[in-house]
Amino acid sequence: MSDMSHPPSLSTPRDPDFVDAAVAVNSPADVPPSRERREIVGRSPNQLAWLRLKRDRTALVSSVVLAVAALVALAAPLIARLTGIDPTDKFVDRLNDFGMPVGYAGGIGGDHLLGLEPGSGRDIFLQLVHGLRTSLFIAFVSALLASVIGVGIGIVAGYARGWLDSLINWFVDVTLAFPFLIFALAVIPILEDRFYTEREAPPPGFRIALIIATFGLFSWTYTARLVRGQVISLREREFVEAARAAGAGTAHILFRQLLPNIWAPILVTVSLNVPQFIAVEAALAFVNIGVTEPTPDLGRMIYNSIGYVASDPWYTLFPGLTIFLLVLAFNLLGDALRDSLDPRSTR
Amino acid sequence: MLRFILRRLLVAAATLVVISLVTFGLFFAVPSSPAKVMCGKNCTAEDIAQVEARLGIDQPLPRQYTDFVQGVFVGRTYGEGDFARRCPAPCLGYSFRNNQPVTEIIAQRLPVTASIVAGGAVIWLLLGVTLGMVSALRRGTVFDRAAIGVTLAGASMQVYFFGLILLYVLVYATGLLPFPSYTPLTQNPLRWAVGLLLPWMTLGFLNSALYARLSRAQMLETLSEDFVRTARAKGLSPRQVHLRHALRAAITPIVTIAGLDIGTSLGGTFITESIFGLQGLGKATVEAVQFLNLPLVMATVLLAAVFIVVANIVVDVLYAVIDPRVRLN
Amino acid sequence: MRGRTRTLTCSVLAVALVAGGCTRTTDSGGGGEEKKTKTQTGSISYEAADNQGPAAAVNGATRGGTVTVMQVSDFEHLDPARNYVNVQQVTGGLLYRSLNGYKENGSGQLLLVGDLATDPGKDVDGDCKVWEFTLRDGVKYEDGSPVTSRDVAYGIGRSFAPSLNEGPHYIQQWLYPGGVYNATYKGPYDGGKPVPDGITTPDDRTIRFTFPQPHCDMPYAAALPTSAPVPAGKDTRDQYDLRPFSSGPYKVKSYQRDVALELERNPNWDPKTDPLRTAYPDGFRFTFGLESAQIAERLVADAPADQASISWVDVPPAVLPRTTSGGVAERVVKGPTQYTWVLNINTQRVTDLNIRKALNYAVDKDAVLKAVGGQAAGSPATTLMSPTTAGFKTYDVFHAPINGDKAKVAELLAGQRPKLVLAHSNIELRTQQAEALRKNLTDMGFDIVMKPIENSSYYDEIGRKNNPYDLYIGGWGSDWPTGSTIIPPLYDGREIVAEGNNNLSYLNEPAVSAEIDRIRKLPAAEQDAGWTALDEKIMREYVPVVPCYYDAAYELRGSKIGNAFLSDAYGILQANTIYVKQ
Repeated sequence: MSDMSHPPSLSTPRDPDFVDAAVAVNSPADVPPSRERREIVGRSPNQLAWLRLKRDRTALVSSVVLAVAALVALAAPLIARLTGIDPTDKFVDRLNDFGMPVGYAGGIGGDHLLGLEPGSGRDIFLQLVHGLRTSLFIAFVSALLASVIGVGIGIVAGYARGWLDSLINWFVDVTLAFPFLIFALAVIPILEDRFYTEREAPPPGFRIALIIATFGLFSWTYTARLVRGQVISLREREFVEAARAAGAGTAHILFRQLLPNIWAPILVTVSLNVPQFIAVEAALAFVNIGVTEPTPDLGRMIYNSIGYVASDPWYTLFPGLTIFLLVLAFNLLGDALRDSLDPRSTR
Repeated sequence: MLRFILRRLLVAAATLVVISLVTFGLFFAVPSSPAKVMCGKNCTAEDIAQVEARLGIDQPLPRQYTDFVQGVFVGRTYGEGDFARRCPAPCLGYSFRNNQPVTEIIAQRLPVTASIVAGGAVIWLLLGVTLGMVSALRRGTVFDRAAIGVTLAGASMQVYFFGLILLYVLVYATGLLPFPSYTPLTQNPLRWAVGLLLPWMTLGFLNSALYARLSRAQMLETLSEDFVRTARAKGLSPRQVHLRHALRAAITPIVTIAGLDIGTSLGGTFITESIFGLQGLGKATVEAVQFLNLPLVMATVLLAAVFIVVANIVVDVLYAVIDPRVRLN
Repeated sequence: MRGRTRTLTCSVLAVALVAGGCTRTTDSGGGGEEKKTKTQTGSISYEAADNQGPAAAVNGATRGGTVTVMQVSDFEHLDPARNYVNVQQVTGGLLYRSLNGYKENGSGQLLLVGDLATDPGKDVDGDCKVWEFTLRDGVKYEDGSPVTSRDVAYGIGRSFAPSLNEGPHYIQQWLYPGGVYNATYKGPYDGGKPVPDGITTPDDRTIRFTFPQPHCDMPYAAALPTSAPVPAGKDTRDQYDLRPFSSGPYKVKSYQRDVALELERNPNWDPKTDPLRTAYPDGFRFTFGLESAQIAERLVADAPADQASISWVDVPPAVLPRTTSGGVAERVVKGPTQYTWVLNINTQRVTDLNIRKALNYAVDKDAVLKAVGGQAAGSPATTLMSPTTAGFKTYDVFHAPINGDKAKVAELLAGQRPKLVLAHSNIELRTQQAEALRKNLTDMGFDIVMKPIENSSYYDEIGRKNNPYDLYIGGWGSDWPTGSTIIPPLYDGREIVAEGNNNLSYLNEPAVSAEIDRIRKLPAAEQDAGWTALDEKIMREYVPVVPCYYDAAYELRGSKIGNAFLSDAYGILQANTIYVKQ
């Protein structure tokens, strides 16, 4: 649902190619999806995928955009040093008596490349660069966490059968039915109160960790179902039988035999999860449980800037455009990745 | 079929029990007491104890939970004597802030959310699925390329951003539409529709982008399947092949996702509601958390869970109806 | 910077943006300097002409229509015993009538006259100890029954009930001085007597208050909602909030908590008995749950459906620049209010006077103010009382530049770097303001820890005597325009209790308390000067706060609203004589 009240697991099961698998798994009558890959002599499927990806121009452009974003985010402290401006510096003298930046286009000028934030007088460029850093970090780590949990649970469920499989399935249902936003609203303040006294501000990292943990806790379900479906379709295959016959342990079969065969769909899920996390992280600002001041954050910046769309559109434009491009690039890359890994779904 | 549904209902009940327990435990751990919030300024410890007794939160946690469950089935009376408040079954709690049973508040708020979701879903299903199907059939044409572009952009857009732009363009700047408001459908269908047009457009357009992408991919996949080739070979007209065979197979996963999406949204579309100033369930829930209006939080969380669980069951049944390959037993 | 990007983006966004971003922003956003500080004299009028109904007709006003009031959140309380917030008081004034009320006509004249009472109260013995009010003839409730003095007494009685404790307690405290106001009498519930000691009702139209000590402010205190009549038979206790029994021109038609409140005419209200209200509109409709930016944008847009609307919510900074052009500027209702915003220093924790002085030199009042809307939100302050207070005289103890004086701070801190916890409400605007302060004070040589507090419990948290915070912003507005409802509640150490304090700096200086007692005993005419002098003495000797800014209101009305002016008594748009243009 694009309302963003829910984390990705509820809103991304529309990765078309894998929906089939997920749905089949979801339904009581498991129809194992048939997903044979056409083999070409001499090249492994992964090499082929890589070749296809390299030829895809959209993939190239979006990877460049993402690489630039990542680079800018990583280099944020360097940019701050070069410009001599700290993201929290306030140029209040450059605001008029309503608190609006003086000059053209929201105070854009040589000193302030993208102008100043109304009210606070902070440099938008530096806020943006540092905010990007926070947001990308949260999104990446959350996506990784969700995948790790999801893969672990999914593999176990897929391989286990019987009561353990049913139990995990039911656990997935419970997680899906529990409202994420309410949980985050309730739990984040509780934990901060538990770990920090009234005179200590939790360090910015703590709130970020809580956000990541909450995302991880609620977003593993899709990956888990996906992986379970894949494992079910693979577990009766000859190579697994062979490994079992050779006396391999369960752990070996799960992680050395099965996992390498399902990494591709997982990779696509991760790439499609990241933009969702960026968007949901911004939504958290709406209910005051996002990243706290003074840590710069793209999501909060968007939330704060939305009201200025008519009075200082520049302030709204830059963070809004950044998140749009970021999400678009991730979506494009995710699509391209999927296409290259599965030639049947060429566009 | 009947056994299947019974089994699903049993599992659903277990799910709801677990969710209610977790919610209960969660809010029991909230450091600030709801009694204190309710009691307000100049409150002595004695006053707080009194309020706690009325709310029934002076009892040990397991007792509170059994009281709650009992209330659901037989109703409940809060407080004693002059202060007594009756909450008839199914009692999900009594909100002292609003001075009414929680079920009454939900009865006021749910129609708002349901109206938003219903209108939005119609748009995104009709527009999104049509767009996706057509561009799959016209694969590679200008139409297809344009559709891909638009849906990609739409899928990368956020509801808070898109909604706000619509609000500015259609309401603040041009006055083409009135600011969204909710009029009950039964009272005045026209005003109901006009008042909700903006949220419908926002949710509808953004989701139709996602649904278009999904249905396009599904359709493409289906068209390459053997049974479609068989149908073509039988000499059926393209129209019959597409509508009777391919569409039917391609739509199944879309139904699944639509069911879950609708179920999830019925629990509250907080951001859409707050962007358009509508008093739906999502806003009620978030406000309830902020005011520590625990009975209301509990009830809305459970209700949202019920919607999702029910949506799951409905989807499974529908799935069997639509797809002949699936048989329930 | 007339570059390509600029032109491009402007045209892309132009449809939506009404071209806000393409013009140059200049220094004065608000259309020039406006130094409109008015000092009220707050006069009490016993003139028959002022005290008689009906209220003077407003030029060009027409009857009919419904006024929509768009609000962010619902009223906490409309029960007269619990009503202590200006928006609630103005709304309450449409539903019930207190003994006295403020008469305003938009010219800045503020008169206290009798509302239910025929005049603002008789000081029977001339020593301010015994006060007598005579009720008007012919005032009726919504069911047509007459309002009696017993109902007024009962209304005050129930305001002692612990469960209805949110209202002002001046009269209550004066009746039972020493200790908590309801320590001995807890209202009429649970077997308590219906009327507190010291109140007698010799007949249906007379009510008499006998105080152990002189209280010359009684006419003002009687204008607060606790003196509104509540018939014992209609008392629904804690549910009265949702359905007060009307003695005013309107009654509750429907009330859906957090969503909407609708008022319709009370057919039994007689304009001839009412000197304050003209009650032109047929009804009022309050809608809750909108965001301040939504409200402001809707009022700026002035669509036909919103033209008969007002809001008591200040225009948020994001929308301010859109209110300065032609048609919209005419519909701005702005001006100074009686509130002063200060940065409270918890003097129980920050005991070093030099640090408190250093803070006064350090705070960048410009940044603090611009974070919430600049000149639309107020003007920089140096005193505790606002310029609207009777007898106000400005002074500045520190003469710090508006952006702070780093050298002076360094000198006062003498090499230490105090670690201070700054608590703030977690709403966006207050967070921005706190962050401005944090940055500013950090640069000035303090270590600042920011602590966000859930907005709904902000004042509860900082009102706990042993709260763990050092600094917190707070605003206070007088209950009537004299220093006696500013200095004593905020700076008298004897009023500090465990919870729910107004004295947020927890200043507890016997010398200040003694001076408060001395001023209270002065003749009424000399008290104003006394409070002003004490204001300066507190800042000079004890430095319990950093005065930040004098609050200003900046509200919008729809184009069909007539006679919309800022009430000096409440600091928001008035409702008594407002009308809908036909």
